[in-house]
Amino acid sequence: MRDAAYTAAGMAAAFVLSSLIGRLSPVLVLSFNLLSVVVLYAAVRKGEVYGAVTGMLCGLLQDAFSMGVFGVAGIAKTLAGYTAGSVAKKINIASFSRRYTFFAVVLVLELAVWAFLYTAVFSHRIYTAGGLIFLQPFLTALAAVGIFPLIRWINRFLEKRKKT
Amino acid sequence: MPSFLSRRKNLVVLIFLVFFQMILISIQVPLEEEETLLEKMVFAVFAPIQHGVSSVFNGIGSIWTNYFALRDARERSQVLSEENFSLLQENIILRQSLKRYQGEAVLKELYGSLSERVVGARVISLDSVNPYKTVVINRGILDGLTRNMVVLDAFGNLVGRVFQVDRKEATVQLITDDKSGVSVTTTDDRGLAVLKGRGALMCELDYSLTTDEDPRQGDTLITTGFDHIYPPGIKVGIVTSVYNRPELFKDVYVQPFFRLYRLDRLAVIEVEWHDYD
Repeated sequence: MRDAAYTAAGMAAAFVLSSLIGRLSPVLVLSFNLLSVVVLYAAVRKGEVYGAVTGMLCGLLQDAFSMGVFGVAGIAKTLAGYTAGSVAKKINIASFSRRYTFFAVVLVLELAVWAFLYTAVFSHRIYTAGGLIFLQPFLTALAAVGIFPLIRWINRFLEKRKKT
Repeated sequence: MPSFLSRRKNLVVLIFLVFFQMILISIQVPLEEEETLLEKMVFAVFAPIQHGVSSVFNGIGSIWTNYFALRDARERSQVLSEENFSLLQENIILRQSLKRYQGEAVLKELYGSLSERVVGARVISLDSVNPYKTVVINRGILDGLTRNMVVLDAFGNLVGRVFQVDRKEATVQLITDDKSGVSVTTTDDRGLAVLKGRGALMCELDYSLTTDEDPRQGDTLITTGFDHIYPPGIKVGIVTSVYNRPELFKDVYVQPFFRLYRLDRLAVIEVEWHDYD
């Protein structure tokens, strides 16, 4: 229950942050997919099923705020969450470079699945913003790698405050 | 449960989730623009969060400026700015309508009803996948918004139409969206075409015959009203390039006048079509 509440809070935070960065510059909306960061974190921490469910919820949330078919990003993120959770158990992703590479690969796959479904459903190509969208997996992977130490730091800070 | 399924429990869950979403997609494809109940629910739950955060940030911004600026002067300026914005919109609509209306009596009637038709709005967020498709605004059913109301920027340029309305928020489909179509002509009524979005910064004109001389580079495009969504005479964009091809229609690219980077205040207008018929 506590995990679900934390995940919901993470989703809400990513969603709000996405809205705010979009107001700063529309380019940033395409550069980072913060909901994918939540999916990757949940998948690595809690496993493939949890990652898939979080992926589905984050994807549907993304679809609800984009004009088009509800479920396209849902499927892409469900698969990304499942893959991340399942592979993370089998390989060592402790170091920065390994974790970054792993996240980037999963996010490239997510983008590929999303682009494929989008093209299949709408019968036209995705908007790439002059190729910027292809950078999205690599920039999002950077944010996803950074979220782990950040959450650790927040937890430590909260524990210290509890003790004092 | 069969042993295969219990061994592959996680995979079964994944297949179930993907299958559920595939059903969701297949339900929607025949619906086209209609949203499913689930999509409406997700929007209804999360849009107020966006609205709230946007309001908090706007509020913080206004407290900050009001604290450091002269408070009364700021408020007076705010009132004047609101009034100016309203008047600007009225002026634009009136100027466009003047071309169409002849009798003084009709004009008087138009003056009388015009101020009730404009609703000022602010952009809360951009589309989560492609910023050139939709924006969410902070006005909804409670403010009198309905589907297909016309949305203009602060300078009276066409932005799009209200696409989905919730209680306090609404989604606006931009003219740059690849599913958007606007009936347009040049300012001096040379030729008719359909302005199609491309889900990008630029739009293009459909059904512009290669045998026609028009439109030409630098032509300003305005709405014709033939689509029965956008009233005639609203400024849409400028023709940036024209390519003649061996096919029946030529490629005409249009730069819309509204600027996504500067979209903040919008005017939502209710069009009474009997005025134009």
